[in-house]
Amino acid sequence: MIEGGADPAARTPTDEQLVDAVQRGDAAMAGLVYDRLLGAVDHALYRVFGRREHDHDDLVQAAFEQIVLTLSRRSYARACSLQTWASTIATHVAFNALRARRRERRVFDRDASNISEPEPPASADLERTAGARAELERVRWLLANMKPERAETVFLHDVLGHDLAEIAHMTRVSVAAAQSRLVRGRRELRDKLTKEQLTS
Amino acid sequence: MSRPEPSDHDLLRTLGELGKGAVPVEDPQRAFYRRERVVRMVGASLEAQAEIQRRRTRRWLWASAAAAVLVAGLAGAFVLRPQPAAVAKASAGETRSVLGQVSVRRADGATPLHTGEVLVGGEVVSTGARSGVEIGIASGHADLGGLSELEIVPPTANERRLRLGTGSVDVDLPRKLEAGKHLVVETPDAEVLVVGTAFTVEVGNEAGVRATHVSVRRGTVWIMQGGKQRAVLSAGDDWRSPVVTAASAPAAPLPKAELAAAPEARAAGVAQRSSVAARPAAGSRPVDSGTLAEENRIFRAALAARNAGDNAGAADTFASLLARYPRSVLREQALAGEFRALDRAGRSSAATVAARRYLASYPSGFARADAERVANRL
Repeated sequence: MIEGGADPAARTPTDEQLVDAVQRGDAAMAGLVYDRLLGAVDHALYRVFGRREHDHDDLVQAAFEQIVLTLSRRSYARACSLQTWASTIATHVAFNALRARRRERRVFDRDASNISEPEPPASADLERTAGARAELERVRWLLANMKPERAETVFLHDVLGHDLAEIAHMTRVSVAAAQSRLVRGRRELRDKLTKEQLTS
Repeated sequence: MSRPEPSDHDLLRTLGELGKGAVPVEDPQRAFYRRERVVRMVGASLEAQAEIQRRRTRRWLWASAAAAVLVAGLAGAFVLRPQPAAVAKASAGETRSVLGQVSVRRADGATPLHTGEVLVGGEVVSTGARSGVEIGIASGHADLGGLSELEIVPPTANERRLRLGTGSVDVDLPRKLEAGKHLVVETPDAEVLVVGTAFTVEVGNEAGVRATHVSVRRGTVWIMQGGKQRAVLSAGDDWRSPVVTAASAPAAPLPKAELAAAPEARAAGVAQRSSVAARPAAGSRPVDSGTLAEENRIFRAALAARNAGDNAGAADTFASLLARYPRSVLREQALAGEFRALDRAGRSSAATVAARRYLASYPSGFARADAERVANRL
């Protein structure tokens, strides 16, 4: 059987077409925008929090609101892929949420107590696994306590794997400034980890 | 017990661990509901964005239309603005009537001057014997007499200047010029500054020396010499520039009234406002200097007679002027002088008739009040 119509790849709009549609205010493209960018958004949120939080759907929606807003305002310079842009925005939204929670001292107070008083491991492997998980939670918590631009630069570079030039484009700073943020961010994180280990 | 201080390698490894590990698949039901919710939100945002863009487009269209109208208006104003050259042409002067031989000298040579020709400034207009030309200037006109030479100086924003080399020019500005603007009639030895009046300027050659004579019929003129104000003349006043050799000039035959007035005028000792009889300049004037000069001469004779107290003689001389030159530029002044002189001479009936004749010709003239008084006396 021969199917008619165009090549499915040809029917799928490119990033450029999608961005143009958003900037035109083409509501019919809403589903396509979501499907194209959900993976990047969900992935970034998951990496920041280490899990899907109870308000994960709200954060996804907040991230998409920001994405549509920035695309409409032509803040997206098209210097990186649309997924990378969405990932950056989702990271920003996630860190904002983390900081808000820190201020409210709810989640991280509870998490910190969990970290400081982990449940007794059943075996050596489980102990290592639990220790590693606690270490990652500690890093996330410390990242949320850092200067936002440094924490996001460290996260985008060392966790999500974006290169400096891409981060510089996405955060609208020079490559030198992005590199400075990365170096200072790592140092701050290491200092905090050291300090936290000394006091524990 | 404290843990060892983390190295850079440890830190990077830990951070790398954050990015590792598979992201678990979501519950399809939850993902479906979230998709519905977020897509609806994104669609609403895009519609709102489209509405904002439509509003922006409308605003832009309105702004563009307004700008286009504004630009069109400005362009229209620019295109329709008075052209400087046109202003200069219109304000420098235009030839209204030409009598006899009149020529205009420009950079490219002298050519006959014709009625309707526009003078842009820089031209020199010359008239022959028994010739004359009326040039429209500002709100009035300048009548150049015979054997005269007048240079039209290019006008500026505030000044129009006529340079009278020789002969005579009669200027009449019915309306006062705008504030700050003036007309200057320049002679070799004086400048006559005008803001709205009627007067005659003559440049005569007295004993080899050029002299200026100014006679004012209406309004006020300033006489300037060497940049200084020498006299302010009002209606009926005459002024002559002092000529050292004037005493040796031969006297020309004058009308009886004029001769009779001469001693009186000299006795008055008015240095700047002398009558023609005080200085026999007419004798040094060309025998035939054109109609205007002759009109002026008779008019001055009538004034001299009046000033000498010979009201009957003055009335006769005014009547003579009106009879010989019924369309004279001095007609209004002559009519007024006639009825006033007749009135002072006690010839009431004739004065009334003359006053009514004045009112018929000039119902809003400068002597209307006097004329109405005399005309209604009977």
